[in-house]
Amino acid sequence: MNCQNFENVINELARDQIMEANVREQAVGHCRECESCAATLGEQKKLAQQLNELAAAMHHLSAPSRVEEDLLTAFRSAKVPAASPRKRWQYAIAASVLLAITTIGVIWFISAQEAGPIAVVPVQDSNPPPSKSPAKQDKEDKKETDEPTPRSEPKRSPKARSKGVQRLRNEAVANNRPTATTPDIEEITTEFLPIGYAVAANVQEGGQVVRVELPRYAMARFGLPVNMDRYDERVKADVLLGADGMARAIRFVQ
Amino acid sequence: MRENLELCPTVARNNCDGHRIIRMKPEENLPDNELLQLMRAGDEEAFTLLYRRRQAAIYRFAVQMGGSPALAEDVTQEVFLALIRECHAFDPGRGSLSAFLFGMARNQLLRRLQRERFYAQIDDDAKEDGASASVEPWEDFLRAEAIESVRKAVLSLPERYREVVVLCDLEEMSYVETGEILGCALGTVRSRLHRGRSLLIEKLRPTNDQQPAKAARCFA
Repeated sequence: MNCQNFENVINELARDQIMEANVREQAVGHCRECESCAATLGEQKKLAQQLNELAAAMHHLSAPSRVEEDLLTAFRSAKVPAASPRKRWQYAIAASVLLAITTIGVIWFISAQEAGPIAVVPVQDSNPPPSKSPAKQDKEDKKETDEPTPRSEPKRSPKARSKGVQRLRNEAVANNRPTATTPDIEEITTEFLPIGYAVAANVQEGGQVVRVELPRYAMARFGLPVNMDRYDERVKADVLLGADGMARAIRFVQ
Repeated sequence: MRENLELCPTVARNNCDGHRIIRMKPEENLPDNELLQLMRAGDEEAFTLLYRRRQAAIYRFAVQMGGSPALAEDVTQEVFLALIRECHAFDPGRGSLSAFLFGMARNQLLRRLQRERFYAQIDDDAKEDGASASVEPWEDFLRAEAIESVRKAVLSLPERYREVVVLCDLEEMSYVETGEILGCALGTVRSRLHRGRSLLIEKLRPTNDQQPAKAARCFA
């Protein structure tokens, strides 16, 4: 062993650390031959002894009891165990679902409030009138858009108002379009898709149409293609409610 | 049956309705991780056991690194407060709880030392702590002086060497444990310890041997 190698193991040797027996023997043998390394080892051993004395002198040190008291007080105040990460995820998912339901409810409520009898169109007759020719239809649409809505004209007589509502209702059912809430915007809709166990026959029975907003990924449930890049965006949809208030069918609006 | 009861001691208390509540008391020889799990569940006894098991080493480390009992007290309190608040941050797969606590203490210390530009204070309390009862007052005085000089020398080391010397030599940790706490490789620990000890020898040589110092090596 040369001096360089000895320097690599001098700490372990001075501190009586576990080391390979042959390395130890070689290091001790080198000390017998090299006075300089022997002196260095002596210094290192002396330092190790001094550090041991310091460690022994400080061994009994510990934090004052007031620290423990303070910590126990803090522990008691924070005693409600924090949720584990898994539970936190569950809470987050539950909160988001609740938020979505609340949002849908609020949107439905607001739309019901704003649209009044127009947005929610009760469909009484199961046999809608025959559809008119396109030219006639456009003419009637134009005529209708020129007319103010019943809400903007409160002085209008109830009879005339109900007549207008009835006409809008008939058009909505006949054209399979939601209502006249946004008559100037051309909407593209899907067919009414039955919800749950509702069959097409039930859908034809009529009911109320409610405009809602849903996450885009809800379209996937009805077998419609969904752009996954925009899956978390919201889409408008019309929900057809039956006489019992249950959702019968849905169609998506663009 | 009796043995089982002794192995699983219980704590009996009366609640506000006068009903007797018997609750399992955590055993003192439970490993840290199990005590931590109990603590997470709100078990105060488990926290107390864990604190009493680990506080002295953390406090000593802080005293040896910072030189001030007041600083060490603050650091110890902060470390265990952090454990209370963020006990879920500890991942047993990444290391021992001891290393986790020492790591937090080290971070606290370094932050405080940098922020407050803290200088080592050698106060009377610390001197008294190091003294032990002896028949010979003169010997006692000399021994205390020698220990104090070593303590000052350790405190005067640069932080990167000081922490290794404190952990390996004073706390008698292995290179692996020290590397885990400091977040560095085993070779780095070895080389820093070597340099730190060499610096200590240089610092202590004039007072110990009254010999002229050899040409000091640059460890910067």
